[in-house]
Amino acid sequence: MRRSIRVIVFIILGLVLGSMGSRTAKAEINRSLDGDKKCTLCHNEASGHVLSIYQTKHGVKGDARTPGCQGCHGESVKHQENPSDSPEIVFGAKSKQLSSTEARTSACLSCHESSVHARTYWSGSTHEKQGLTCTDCHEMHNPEQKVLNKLTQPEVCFGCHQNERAQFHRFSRHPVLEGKVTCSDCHNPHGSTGPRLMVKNTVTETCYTCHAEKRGPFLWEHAPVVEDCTNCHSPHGSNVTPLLKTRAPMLCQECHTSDHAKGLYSAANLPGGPFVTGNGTIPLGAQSPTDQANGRACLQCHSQIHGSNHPGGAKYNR
Amino acid sequence: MKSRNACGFGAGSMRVLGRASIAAGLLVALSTFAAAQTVPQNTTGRNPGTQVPPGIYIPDEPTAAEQTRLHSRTQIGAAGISAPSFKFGEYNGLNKFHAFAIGNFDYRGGASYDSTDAWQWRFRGSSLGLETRNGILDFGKQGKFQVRFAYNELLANTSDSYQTPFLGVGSDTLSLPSTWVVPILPQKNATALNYFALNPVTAAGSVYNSKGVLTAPTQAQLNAMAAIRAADLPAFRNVDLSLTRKRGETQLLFNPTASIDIPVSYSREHKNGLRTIGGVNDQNTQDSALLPYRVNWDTDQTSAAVNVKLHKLFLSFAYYGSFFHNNTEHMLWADPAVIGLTSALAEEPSSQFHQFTATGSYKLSRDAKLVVVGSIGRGTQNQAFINPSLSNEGALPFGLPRPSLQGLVYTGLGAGKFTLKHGKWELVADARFDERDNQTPLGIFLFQDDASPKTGKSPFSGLYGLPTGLGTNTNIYNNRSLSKLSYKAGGEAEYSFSKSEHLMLGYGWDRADRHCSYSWITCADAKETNENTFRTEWRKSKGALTARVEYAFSERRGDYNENAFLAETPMANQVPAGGASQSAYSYLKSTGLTGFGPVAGLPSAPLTGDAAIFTPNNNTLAQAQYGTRNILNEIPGFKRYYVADRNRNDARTQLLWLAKDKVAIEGSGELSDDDYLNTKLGLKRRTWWAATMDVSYTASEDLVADVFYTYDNQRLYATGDAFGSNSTAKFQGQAGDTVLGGPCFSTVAARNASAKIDPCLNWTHNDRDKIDTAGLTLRRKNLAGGKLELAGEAVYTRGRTENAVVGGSYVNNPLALAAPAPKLPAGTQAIFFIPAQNYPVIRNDEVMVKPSATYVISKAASLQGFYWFQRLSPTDWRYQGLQAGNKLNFTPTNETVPNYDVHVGGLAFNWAF
Repeated sequence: MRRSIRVIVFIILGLVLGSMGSRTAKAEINRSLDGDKKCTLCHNEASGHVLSIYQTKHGVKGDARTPGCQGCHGESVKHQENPSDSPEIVFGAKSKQLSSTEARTSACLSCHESSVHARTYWSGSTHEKQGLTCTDCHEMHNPEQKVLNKLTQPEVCFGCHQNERAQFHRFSRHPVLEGKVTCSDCHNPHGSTGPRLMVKNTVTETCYTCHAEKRGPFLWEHAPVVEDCTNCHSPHGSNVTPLLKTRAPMLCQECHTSDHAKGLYSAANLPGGPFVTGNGTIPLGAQSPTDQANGRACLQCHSQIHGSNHPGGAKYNR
Repeated sequence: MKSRNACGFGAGSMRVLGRASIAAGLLVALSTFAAAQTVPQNTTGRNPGTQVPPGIYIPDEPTAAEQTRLHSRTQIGAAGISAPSFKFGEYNGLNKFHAFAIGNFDYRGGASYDSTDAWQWRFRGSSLGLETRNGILDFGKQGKFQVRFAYNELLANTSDSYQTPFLGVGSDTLSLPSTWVVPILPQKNATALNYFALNPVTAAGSVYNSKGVLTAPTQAQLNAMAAIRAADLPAFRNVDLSLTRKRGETQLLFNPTASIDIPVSYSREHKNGLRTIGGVNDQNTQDSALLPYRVNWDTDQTSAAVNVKLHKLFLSFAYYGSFFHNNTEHMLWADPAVIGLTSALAEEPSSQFHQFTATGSYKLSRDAKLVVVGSIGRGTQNQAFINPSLSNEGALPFGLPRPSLQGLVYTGLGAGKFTLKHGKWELVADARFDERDNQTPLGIFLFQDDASPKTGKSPFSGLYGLPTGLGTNTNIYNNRSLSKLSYKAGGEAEYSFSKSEHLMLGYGWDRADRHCSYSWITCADAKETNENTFRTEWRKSKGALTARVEYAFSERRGDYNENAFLAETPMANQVPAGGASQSAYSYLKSTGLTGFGPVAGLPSAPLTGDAAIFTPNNNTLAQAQYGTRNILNEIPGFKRYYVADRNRNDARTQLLWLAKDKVAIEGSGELSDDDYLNTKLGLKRRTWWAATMDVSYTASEDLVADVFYTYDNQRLYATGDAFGSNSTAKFQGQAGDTVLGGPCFSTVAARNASAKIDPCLNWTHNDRDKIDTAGLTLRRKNLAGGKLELAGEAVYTRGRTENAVVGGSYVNNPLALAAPAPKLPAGTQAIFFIPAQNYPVIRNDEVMVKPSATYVISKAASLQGFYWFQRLSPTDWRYQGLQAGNKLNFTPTNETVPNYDVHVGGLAFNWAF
């Protein structure tokens, strides 16, 4: 723990000292409506929904930080002189003059890297490395961006994460299709300190934001639970409730092979399980069916599997 | 006509902001009388062009004024559901058969875009009449401050077919009706609970009597069964299992200067309702019940940060706090098998977590950036332990070592990332450590298993500071404070051959050190694991084609310790009374054994000394000799997969072909293969692959279609050993009944002499998930002179889970009984070998169809009709054992697998102003 604190103090000091660098002057852009008029004279209400940006946060001129047309698309002097020349930065995905990934991303990061809603972790993040840019998910001129609406955000994410789209149609799943939980509740698409773009530092910390009751610390901790919830759960969807990788007892027997966890359980241990013996099919008393193969199997008794706080609950059964 | 996605509202052109509050009031009032629901949304679309939910309408030629002012929208309507279904309404609240109102609103206002004022507000609400309602109020001066108040409810239905005989549902004490008769049918088992007594087949219950004769129940026994059924079955009644989460949240964002942000948030969440939890009364007979468990939890979360922006430097100092409070500390319930006995369960303890995070990023140059993060957290849990006298099951006869856990966990994170773009190269280097340091003090906890009164005398009784009176079956445990410190470092280099072709090579190192604070022995199955990962990615775009291929190989190795389980049993490090010369742990170390003992059958000569005490007959470590009733001994070669040696191959590919302007075809595939190569027992291999084909067709601006198909296949392959105990027993029942079934041994004596190493008891699991998902979205606009738009969505999911089992188990011939039963006829098997059988396939087939139509009345108004059909047809063997008369030892719940055919239809009026 002390090591953590030392590292953090060192980092902060280094950064503060490092910040004493000189500021780089940046060409000033006319962000006012007058500045925009250079563009909107041509790109008017007849040009699709260009003007609807004024319904968005980027169009609120009362906020001095809003960028104006040229703030994002570049000064585009040549384009103003000759409309057949493309603007400096073109975001339209279907445009043949689409600007490079770097150019489009830089246009956004000029404000959002360290100023407004800083996307500190974007650089080097999974999505950045995959060649994505902001406008692959965000529609800047749309006041009702799909990606900012809990109900419709998954449609954007599913565009690339197609297997996850299928997983959210399974029998057991999080309420993503209902807009009650959404992708960005768990993942930060702009990069994060956690694995798999988790919004928190670890998978477990992320899960605890909704499932705080499983945080503990418990008197009797279950090691794989403390390590990573996904050791047993498939958070995007499963054929087996509740979001399990597979059904107990098979799931438990992947890690336990002693006491009654060592036993072989099969369909022969279900009610009416047909035993075929040398003498034909006969009832076999207490051998059929078996508690460990039925109902919740192991979890029928070891129900506090995420940890128990009962002084006698070392076996997660109280 | 243009369409776009919003919140399910039609858009128009009238500006009637002044009516907003009146309309909102009317709507809220309306919603209090009837349920409300958002019109169903598209959930399948890939192409943004097909992701438009029905009813979103914007005029063809909007004026500049229409494009630039803020729109407000209201949606009202009515709909009906054809049939009740808890599962269909699992999260959407449409679980009841009824007509309901559709009510949603989104009102916006504030200064116009060309004003010097940045004041804005927005008030949204949906599903107001359902348990899934939510509302959000935003207001503020952009760039100065913003405020959000949000309220959200979430419903999670579990079951409406669950039945229970317990009274007091919803409280922390469950009792049984005074008329309850213990469901034991003596001719099946005179002592243990057997719910066979609740078998609806009156004539059932034939048994082999002590003379080896199959006998039907006597009239007296039938009468007893009938009496039990008459008393108990009426006690089972339906209890709906469902949870609701109500969450209120406030978010504030202050911008005191252009270079400082101060976001603050607070949320309070109340989770309430019922779910089931397993409760065991008797560990020997496995008498248990699925209890109705009350959830009554509050979670408060708060965060605050100061973000400082100094041109090249960004600094953030943040706090996050989470406070979980369980309003119910424990649950007590009556034992259905023993009238008067009460068992207890400790519920999830209240806890707190505080975390401070400092983040800094510095832009070294236009193309180079350094980001560092440091985070420290502190989690505590100090809820009082359950009072040992609360239940009379005798679990804690020696009291408690301290009144509460004093649980304390520190978390820490340090991470740094450096990125550099130089020419055609892009470099990323990162390093990270994170720590969970559990500083919870240890204590020795003495307890009895459920319904296991003390017997005999523990060899540790009265020694090493322990009280006298410990039984041989008393558990002497200490808690483990599981801690982990992981380090990661890696780098990636990407080279761009051109603007459209890139190749990346990367390497990552991941080390995890696991330990338990204050533990007398290494507690981690693998104290240290190291993983090296090599990865590469190539992506290229050329013309209409875009391709991407990724591959990663990682190799994880660790020092697996099969005796780590002893960390919970401190007496393993003490010499037991009774003649042993050393402790159990010392014995294992000196002999090189694990808790499994020798991998051998009966010794040729009787064991002597410590071997006879600790591993008699070459069997597993004798439990009483290290103070446990928990048989955790590990078989050599068994490894828990999450720390076991592993080779992992991951591959991913994606191919997008814009075949023509109108057609886009995309195929993608993913593969993951985990090979636990040094694991002999346990999970040995996990393979998963999935493939998707997605085709979108844009015939014109007015007709867009998208079709997809995904196949997903997962396989888990595990092995196990149902080893027995070596013994000298030579027959089953009586002398002469010696013939054994199965391919491994021919006699009972031979099997018993090698029971621990019987190869017939090895087994394998082969668990497979195969899931097909297919979907279609379709949108047709500009019908009926531009006034009609049709949209539709359909998804079919076919899920199959197969649990294949190979192996077998021994079962005694019920006719092989002790005298006076007759001996078995010569050659008759006294013990059968029962081959394993695959579990029935778990099936989940779901069909969903959602067509809709939107008719434009005017620029401001539109009418939207929709229909939603959904069918679920599952089969699941899990429910077989939950039925009355199941012959199992747990209380039946009579739950049935949810299946439904639900039709929902409705009409909504969209009004924009």
